[in-house]
Amino acid sequence: MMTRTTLMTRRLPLAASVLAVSALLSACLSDSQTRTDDQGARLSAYDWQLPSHLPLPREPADNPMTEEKFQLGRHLFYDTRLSANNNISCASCHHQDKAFSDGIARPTGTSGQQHPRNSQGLANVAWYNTLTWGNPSLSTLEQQVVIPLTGDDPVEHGINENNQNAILSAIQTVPEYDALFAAAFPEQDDPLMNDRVWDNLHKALASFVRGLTSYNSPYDRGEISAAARRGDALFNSERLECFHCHAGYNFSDSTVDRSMTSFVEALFHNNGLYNIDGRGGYPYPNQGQFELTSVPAHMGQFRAPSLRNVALTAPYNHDGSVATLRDVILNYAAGGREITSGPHAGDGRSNPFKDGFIVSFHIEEPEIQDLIAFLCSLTDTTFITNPRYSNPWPDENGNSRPAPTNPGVPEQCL
Amino acid sequence: MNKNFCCLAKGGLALLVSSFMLTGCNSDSSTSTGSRTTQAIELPFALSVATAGYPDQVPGCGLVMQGLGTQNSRVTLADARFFVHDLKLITDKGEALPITLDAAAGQNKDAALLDFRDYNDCANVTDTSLATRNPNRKTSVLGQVALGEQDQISHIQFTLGIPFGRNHQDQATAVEPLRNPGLATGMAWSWQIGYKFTGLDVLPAEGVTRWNIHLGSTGCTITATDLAQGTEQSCVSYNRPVYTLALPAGQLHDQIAIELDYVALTSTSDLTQDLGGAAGCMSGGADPECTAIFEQLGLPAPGSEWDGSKTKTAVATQGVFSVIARP
Repeated sequence: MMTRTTLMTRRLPLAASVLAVSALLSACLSDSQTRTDDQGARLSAYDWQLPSHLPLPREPADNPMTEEKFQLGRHLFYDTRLSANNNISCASCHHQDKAFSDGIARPTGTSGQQHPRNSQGLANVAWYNTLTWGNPSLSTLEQQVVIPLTGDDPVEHGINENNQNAILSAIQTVPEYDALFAAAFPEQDDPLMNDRVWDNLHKALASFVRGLTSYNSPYDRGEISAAARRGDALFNSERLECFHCHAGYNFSDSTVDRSMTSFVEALFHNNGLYNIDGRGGYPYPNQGQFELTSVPAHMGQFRAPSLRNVALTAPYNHDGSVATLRDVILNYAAGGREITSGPHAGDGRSNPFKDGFIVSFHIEEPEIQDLIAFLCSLTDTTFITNPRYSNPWPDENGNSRPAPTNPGVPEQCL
Repeated sequence: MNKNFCCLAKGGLALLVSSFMLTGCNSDSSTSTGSRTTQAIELPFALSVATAGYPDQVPGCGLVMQGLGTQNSRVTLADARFFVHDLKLITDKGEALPITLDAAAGQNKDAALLDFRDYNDCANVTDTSLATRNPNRKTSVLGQVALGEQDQISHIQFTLGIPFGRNHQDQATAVEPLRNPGLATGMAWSWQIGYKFTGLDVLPAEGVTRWNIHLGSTGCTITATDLAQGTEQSCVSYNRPVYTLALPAGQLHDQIAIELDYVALTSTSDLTQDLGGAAGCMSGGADPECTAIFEQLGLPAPGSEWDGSKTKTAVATQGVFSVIARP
């Protein structure tokens, strides 16, 4: 049974209040025109370049979006200096041509330790209510970026007590960063060298990732095939129920935006992938939000990711253990996944914590193909080739990099 | 007692004011309650790894410590840090005298980060002549306490960890020693947010390669946004124990230290193995290694649900912390 979203009254975030006041003031000064008071919901110091029907994402009051922060964050995102062995940047596990996922089940960090979970795509992360696969406490990108940088379990970038000063010095001596930091934090004296430098760095990285927006797929433009149209109907049918968790304009029920001024509960779902002990257990350390909450019913509950660009983000699910879209669909058709042998054997279809909407369904082969066609129509080629999101650093020979090229239609979409 | 000194002394001004009201600082000193003056206090902590078979062994990076755990394991040190806060001297009349923390290295008004590592990169030290000293080594807490001649101190009290309100905030801009990256690098709970209250980690020579003791709050769903909004959220298990330790008879508060006995802490644990969950005990409710550790610390069973109105709990029996004569 789907839990009812709890609505609690909540004050407008401070930034929105301030912007709202500015909006009202500027309205007073203009000549008389009929204006809709949207309470400043579209006011931002950043040009989001989004169609006006799309609600803007939330911006934290202490880190409003600006173009300068975005550009600084972009440089940091692609900078391998931000790692213990000068070999890992954010881009190591987030490739633009895969909608910022990385094409493998689970990535490996700077010291060779493999991450227990799959690297997710970063399109539209600004609209997520919580970050990462299963953490109800993680609500801002500013908090999230610290984890891959300094986490020790697993070690990702491996920034620690022993190397953080050397890494910071390496960043501080790069000539480009002088101007980039100064432009991004004009209100500070020497933002690259003062004691706020790490916080500035996190805020810039968060701003870049926040600016990765993707709303220009063929589906958005209404240019999809008949097969995809049939797949759309299937996706939204009561037989398949995909839309319940992969809901709305961002295809995730974990979506929030600036139009939502009341409390939005963070949602996580168990989709019956494991049942290692017959009582619903998922293998450690991937137990979903249970790891944070200790509530037994939260075992195996993960965030429903956005399906935008999903054809590019294989393999799937929290540990990358589902190879293709077809496999994903077949798991849902079966009402979960049965593993017949090995250390993780168990029948996920009878996982007692499985979401109530996953009850299995009948689907014919042509329908599977239509559904895949629909999911493939969510691929936004402008997103994966947008030069704004690409590596700004010159290549090894000192030459500017060419604009990213279209990697072509993924095999599972052919 | 000089009443003017009492009222004008810097540091712990709020404490001073409350003392003023409690003890009548402006009254003459012939009253039976006497008067208190604020004075500096240094409270040393000690980390013991002495065993019956190896009574002289001391913790240090690169040193092999022997006879630990149920298998008499040999281990080397990887991390040896823990936070304390809310320190108090308790009089024999049961009055709690708060120690306000100085703004000093490794501590702020909210908490102190004790660090017993003597060298940097502790886990990898093999030859100490090649190692660099740990500049953040800190074994004492510095503060101010309002004390009077009439006060007989019978107990000392402290809470392990950092206060609830500081455990869920932005770490990059936190005041040291809570800043990550900063002094709190390595004391942050990876992807769970918040801080480890303890980082007591060893590298066993046999069996598993690492055995960690990371105490921290679990079952917390509070987000940074919740905190900013003042939304009331809580944790299932705060794991924030309050220790009240009796001073041995005749010992004065400035003659004692507080000792953490790592041998006792791990006395009922097998340091060669890990049967489930994280390496060692990281406070997970389902982690089998945590049962013994939590029992030694005097905490309720790991993962057990606490009263949401109390973010810390007084410990009745425990085997880890004790008062010793100042070395």
